[in-house]
Amino acid sequence: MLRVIKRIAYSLVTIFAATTLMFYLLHNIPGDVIDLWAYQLMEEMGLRYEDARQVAMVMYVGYGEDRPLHIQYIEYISNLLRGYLGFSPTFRVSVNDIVLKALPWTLFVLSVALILSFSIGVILGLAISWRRKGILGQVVVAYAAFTDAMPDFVTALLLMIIFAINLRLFPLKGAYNPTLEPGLYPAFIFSIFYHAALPIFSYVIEHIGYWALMMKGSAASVLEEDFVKSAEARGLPDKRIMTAYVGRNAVLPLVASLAIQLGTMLGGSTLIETVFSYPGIGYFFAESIGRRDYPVMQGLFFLIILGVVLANLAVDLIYPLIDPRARREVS
Amino acid sequence: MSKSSLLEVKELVVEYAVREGRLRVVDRASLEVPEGIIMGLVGESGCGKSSLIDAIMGTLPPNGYITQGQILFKGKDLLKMSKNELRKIRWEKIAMVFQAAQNSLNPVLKISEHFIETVKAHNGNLSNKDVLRKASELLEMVKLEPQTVLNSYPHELSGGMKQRVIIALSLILDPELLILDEPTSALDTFTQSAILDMLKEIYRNKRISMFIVTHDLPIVAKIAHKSAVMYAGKIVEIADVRTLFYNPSHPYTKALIEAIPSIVGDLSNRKPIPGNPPSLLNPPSGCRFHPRCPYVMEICKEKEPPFFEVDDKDKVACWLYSKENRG
Amino acid sequence: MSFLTKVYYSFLRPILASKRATIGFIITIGFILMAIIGPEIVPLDLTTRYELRFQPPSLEHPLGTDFAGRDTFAQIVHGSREVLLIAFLAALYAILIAISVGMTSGYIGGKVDLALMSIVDIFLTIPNFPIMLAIAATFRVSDPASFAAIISIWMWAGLSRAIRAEIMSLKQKEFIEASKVLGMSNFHIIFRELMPNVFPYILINFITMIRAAITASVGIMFLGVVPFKITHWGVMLNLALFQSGAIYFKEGIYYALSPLIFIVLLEFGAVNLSHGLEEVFNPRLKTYE
Repeated sequence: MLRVIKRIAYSLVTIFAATTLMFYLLHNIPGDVIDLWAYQLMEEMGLRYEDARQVAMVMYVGYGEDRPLHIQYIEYISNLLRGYLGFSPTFRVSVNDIVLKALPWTLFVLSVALILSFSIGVILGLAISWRRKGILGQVVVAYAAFTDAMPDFVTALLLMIIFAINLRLFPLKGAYNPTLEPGLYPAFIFSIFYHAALPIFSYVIEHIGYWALMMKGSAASVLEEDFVKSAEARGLPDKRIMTAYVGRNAVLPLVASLAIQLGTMLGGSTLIETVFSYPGIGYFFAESIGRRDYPVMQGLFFLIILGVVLANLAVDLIYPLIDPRARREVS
Repeated sequence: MSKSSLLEVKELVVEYAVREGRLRVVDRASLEVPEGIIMGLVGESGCGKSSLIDAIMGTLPPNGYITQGQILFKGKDLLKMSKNELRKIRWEKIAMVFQAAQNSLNPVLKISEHFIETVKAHNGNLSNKDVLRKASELLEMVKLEPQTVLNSYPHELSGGMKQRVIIALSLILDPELLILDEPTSALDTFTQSAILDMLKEIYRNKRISMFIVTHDLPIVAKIAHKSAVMYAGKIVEIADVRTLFYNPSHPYTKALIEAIPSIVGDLSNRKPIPGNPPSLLNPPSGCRFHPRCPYVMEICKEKEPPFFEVDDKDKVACWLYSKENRG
Repeated sequence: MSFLTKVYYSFLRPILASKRATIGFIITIGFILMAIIGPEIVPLDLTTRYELRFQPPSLEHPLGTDFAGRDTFAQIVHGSREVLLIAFLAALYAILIAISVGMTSGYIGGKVDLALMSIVDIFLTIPNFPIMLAIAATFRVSDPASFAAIISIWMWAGLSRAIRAEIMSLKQKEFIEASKVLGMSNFHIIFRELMPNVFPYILINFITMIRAAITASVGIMFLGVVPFKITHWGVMLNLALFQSGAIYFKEGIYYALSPLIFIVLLEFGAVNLSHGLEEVFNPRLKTYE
């Protein structure tokens, strides 16, 4: 129990530290921010400089202000604790609204991608570790080496070019067919999966190799363990040995790296969602960067950190459930 | 072949494929394990005894091959059997306790699950309750508390406890022969002694034949009735334990006995065996022991000695005991 | 002469020992040559000629032309200099920070170690790419060195942990004890005894970091955040996808695919080089049985 509390406390500290870092970063922008925005507004809306500056000051409340930084910080944190992430000047809605719209899509794509790549990768890795020499083993290893070399957005771009543009098999943008009304009926649900397919494939193609290789390595070392030899001597069927002996033991270190992978995927979502114009957290984060929309940047960044820390925490707390050795029970 | 031979190894050859070529770790070894006794097999590390056991149980590593010989269980050659026939023999008739058995248990399974899965793999008819009942009896026989142990995971038990669990696990299908490979290594002397006593009791209660393989001579002295001696892949002497310790025939056995330190007596009497164990890639010609043998003769360098019977209790593979030399 | 033989033995021999590493090495050297010499040989002509836009590959334009009629190959060659320079600098900064932190932490231990590792943990938890993006956006980077610095800040953490672990295990080993007994100064111990042992490991990680830096820099530029040189491959991708719609029709495919292919090729070379080196220094890792 003490360990759980310690872990949670540690997670909170990390979130806090990262958020503070981001805050000071964004509020220490060199140059006059209001000026920058004013010029941008002038271009966009054709205003005169004075008017543009007025509008900018109203819109970008909290930035470039004369109030001391720590007061702004305290206000930000107290808002944060009440669940209010700020207001977006460029999107004209609260950051909370953006999050509510975008988060489900990102979560959807990432979870499906993670589940798919993890399960297929683990099964593949187990299969090729079982037979020492086999064509499958070499194929998988070569594949993993190759995809390891490709950055994820390159994979995304290639998929886009081949499937969406040239073969016209998949849509080019969006989370669902815009002509359909959202609702729980088959055509809409199909549309969701249809639009999410390419982004999910990008992740899966990219990460399957990683899981397969890791599992292969882990399984190979488990196979050399005495308890596997003992299982064979006891006449246990191959299937049992592969699942309960090799599989369950080999997968343990992989579970530990699930959280890290989720962090990587969250980071990569920025690029992949942009390539496919898929309206998730990553897409809006990239958009906000382009528009210099600091409240959105800050808010979404906070969300990303939160996601990574929560994932780490979850894996940490779940791990003892699957590995008896990690439990602190007194027998 | 005597009628009461449970297990018979005939001219067995086991080789490993290594980078330098083929390593012959068991070279035409022959021995018999009679029914109803505890038989030992002693030899230094690397003499091939573990590979011999692996060959019997079918647990050789992927680069190990049995290239010659027979392994007869009650007259039937194990090496010629189908997988299904072997499955009926392994663990049901011949069971094994591995070396450093503490790692022989799956860390993610409870002890009870180990018992259940073993029985299920051989006989699907027994219910879980029956299995656990039998397991409890066995656990009590090895002086463990059944309820606690069955519900524990391997890492929750001490080394000695795990060893006893392994022994109980090996008896779950009522085998006729129990093979033990270094059953007491990695245990402290007190536990060693306790385990040996326990094995003797199991032998008496269950009338089960045992084959104990070890490098530790005193273990054989304490518990075995008869023992073989192995050197560089070959069996050099088979005798009952009394003869082996008080009147050994083979020069190697003699040297081994003399090398044992005793608690009483003079340490200065101890003599290490001169020389080094032979390379198994390029073994010496003739009798393998001849480079280190104080009684070496010309014939020893040229021809490998067959077994000669010294008396009805002792067989030796040494030219000293050929009909000519014994007068 | 002896310096060359030293280079040969410690550097080339391990590489040539592995097929993978050799292939990777050749590819990587090829790119380095392209980056150093290429821009001198291949002229870059940035005048727009709309009548020549999106031409397919030909003798005159080996990779075709872009949306403004400019030679794609020349842009790639000139861009390679930017790409490799930024990546190299970023990896260099990151390695230096990682070595300093890792060695200090591992060697001194105690409270210093605890404090440093807590900082490392925070850096490790924050996902690299979003924060790199944010910093790059706010600070208006305009030259390779500062860009490289931003990238390096988020790359050193993992390696410093590993170096610390290595140092800690080496510290226990006997030859360090012997050195201490012999009265060698700490300085000597660190540089003459400990460093050579971690060197292969650092080298391999250096290559990995260059890879990561390439990916990061291309990604950031792809999003149009730091467009300071038009020939950088990331910028080319950005232009291809967002500005000119090049990928949407067939003729533009050559322009769009060129930077992609070169990125993949370069990464492929670096991956094989680092994996091959890994196999050589740590034979247990051979993936082909």
